[in-house]
Amino acid sequence: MCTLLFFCCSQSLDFDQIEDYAIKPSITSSLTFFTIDATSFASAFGVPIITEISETSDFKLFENNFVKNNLVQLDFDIQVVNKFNRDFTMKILLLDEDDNLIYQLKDLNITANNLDFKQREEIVVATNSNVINFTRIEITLSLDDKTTPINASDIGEIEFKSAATIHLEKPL
Amino acid sequence: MRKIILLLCIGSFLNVYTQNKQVLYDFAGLPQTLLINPGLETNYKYHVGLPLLSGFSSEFGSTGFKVSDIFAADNRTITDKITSVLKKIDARDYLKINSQIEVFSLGYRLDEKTYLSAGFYQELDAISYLPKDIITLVNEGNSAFLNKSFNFSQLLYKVDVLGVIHAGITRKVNDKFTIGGRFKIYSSALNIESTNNAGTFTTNLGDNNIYIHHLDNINVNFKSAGLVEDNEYVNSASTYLKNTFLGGNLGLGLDVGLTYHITPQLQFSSSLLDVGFINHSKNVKNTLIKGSFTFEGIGFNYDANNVNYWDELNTSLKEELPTTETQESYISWRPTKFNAAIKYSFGKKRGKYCYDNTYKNFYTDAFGAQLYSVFRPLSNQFALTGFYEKSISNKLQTKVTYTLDEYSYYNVGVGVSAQIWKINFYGILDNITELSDISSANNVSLQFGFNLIFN
Repeated sequence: MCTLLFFCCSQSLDFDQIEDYAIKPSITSSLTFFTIDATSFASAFGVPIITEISETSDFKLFENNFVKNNLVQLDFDIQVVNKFNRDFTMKILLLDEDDNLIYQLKDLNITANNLDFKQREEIVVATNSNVINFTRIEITLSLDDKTTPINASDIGEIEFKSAATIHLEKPL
Repeated sequence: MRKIILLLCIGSFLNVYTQNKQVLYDFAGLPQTLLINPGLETNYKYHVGLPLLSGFSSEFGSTGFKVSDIFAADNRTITDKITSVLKKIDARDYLKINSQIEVFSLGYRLDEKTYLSAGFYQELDAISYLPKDIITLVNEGNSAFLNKSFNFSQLLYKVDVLGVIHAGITRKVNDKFTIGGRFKIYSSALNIESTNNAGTFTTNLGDNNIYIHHLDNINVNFKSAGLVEDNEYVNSASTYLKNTFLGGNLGLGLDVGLTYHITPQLQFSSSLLDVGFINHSKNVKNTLIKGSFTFEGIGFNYDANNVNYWDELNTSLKEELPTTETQESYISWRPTKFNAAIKYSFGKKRGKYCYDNTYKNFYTDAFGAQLYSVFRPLSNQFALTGFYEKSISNKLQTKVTYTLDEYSYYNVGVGVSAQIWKINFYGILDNITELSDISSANNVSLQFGFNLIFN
């Protein structure tokens, strides 16, 4: 029996190669969405006209250390349907917990009646290492023509959709 | 040799669970055969196993892939090889390890018809099915799998480290019929398991947002006993070892078996092993995640209210898909095993000196068939074995087996039992056709031991 064991063998194996392997999950998650109509831009009587609206929320994707430490790329996908006969610019800011600017996405220049606006932005962590500190997101929508307000009775709406994809790479 | 040792170590760590000991079953009247069937016949006055050396067995088995599929030193990249393995496996594939070491064993013939045996062994017993969906999710994420439901029911594993104190009786009813039973006290040093899980995770295109994510009917549990004490992981190997001897969570079990001679040359035997349970009540930590949750993003209102969207999201997640931690005791069932064998003896007759100072005749050759089944969490597993047994002399016996099981259709095993004076040695090796390249074997097992046998 010992002789048998002595003569048993294995083809050439290399267990060290496992060090070259990394899991590379790409995780897609919905981000923010909204649909607003003219009432969001309508101001009360006597109040200055509204040409810009803004909303902020925590988005603590990187509270998880595994995600924070192994992020290699962060993608944003944005889709907008603009049913207003007006041009808008949208700014998306990534902020830290003290509302300091971490990263500003390229402005979204949405033309009037554009029903299929799409924009994608890929942020490579190697060249934007500060992005892992983003914990809040601010989305500001402003009328390009600030001299002509939107009235509450104006027809139109803006549908905004967004998603983020986090690309991770973690050696075993 | 280093590679062999490494493979055996991997085997020991990855794949321990109820082992099919088809070569050892009813082989050469070895005392260890009574642990597989307490109703087998023996012919000696008493036996003593050499402490820690009387019975060692280890088995590694995997279905769906082999060690060489991943670690072969070829020109393919490790990423290609793992990707290829992940494509090949399915959720019914598994890794298993079973390792047993007999700490002490002894037996004594009470009278002509009754043989008593007892002992203590430690066992590592582990099985994990390969949750392909979860591995895919961890390895690749959900981005490329729109509309795919990742199924959490595939998460299924069980690991036990335990000690077993046992005492058995083998009783000859008449010349044809022998029965036996063994009472067991289990002392579990470690149990971790996750079974009976349910639920899916799916990402679809959404209406309000680009995507909508569904966690549907999630019911995932993680149970552990012996792993965490006072909110800290038990890291000491000596603690685990100590707890295998009545210091851990206790349970009870029973083995039963019989032998029946249909004719003087034709024998039927059968056994049912480890019908029992362990009640885990010490150092228990259970986690249950249960509920359903749908997420399509954070909906901004753009109104005057300062809503804390993130807190609202967290609150609804905790309400709809709560994670509960408890220390409630739970019962784990031992994996029950079934053996049955038919054996036809033939050839020359030889006389053998027996316990009652007489010589008994026995045939030098035998062949037959054995069936083995183990009750596993997902489904029962079966193995069918044909065997040939040859007694070369009164002191040297051999057995060759051919087994069909889910690992292979050409598993050849060999066993040798030799006695010099009162010292008996046995060695058993399974799957010898794969010895030229054990890294390409789906299953490797070996057993050996030393006993002192007194007639």
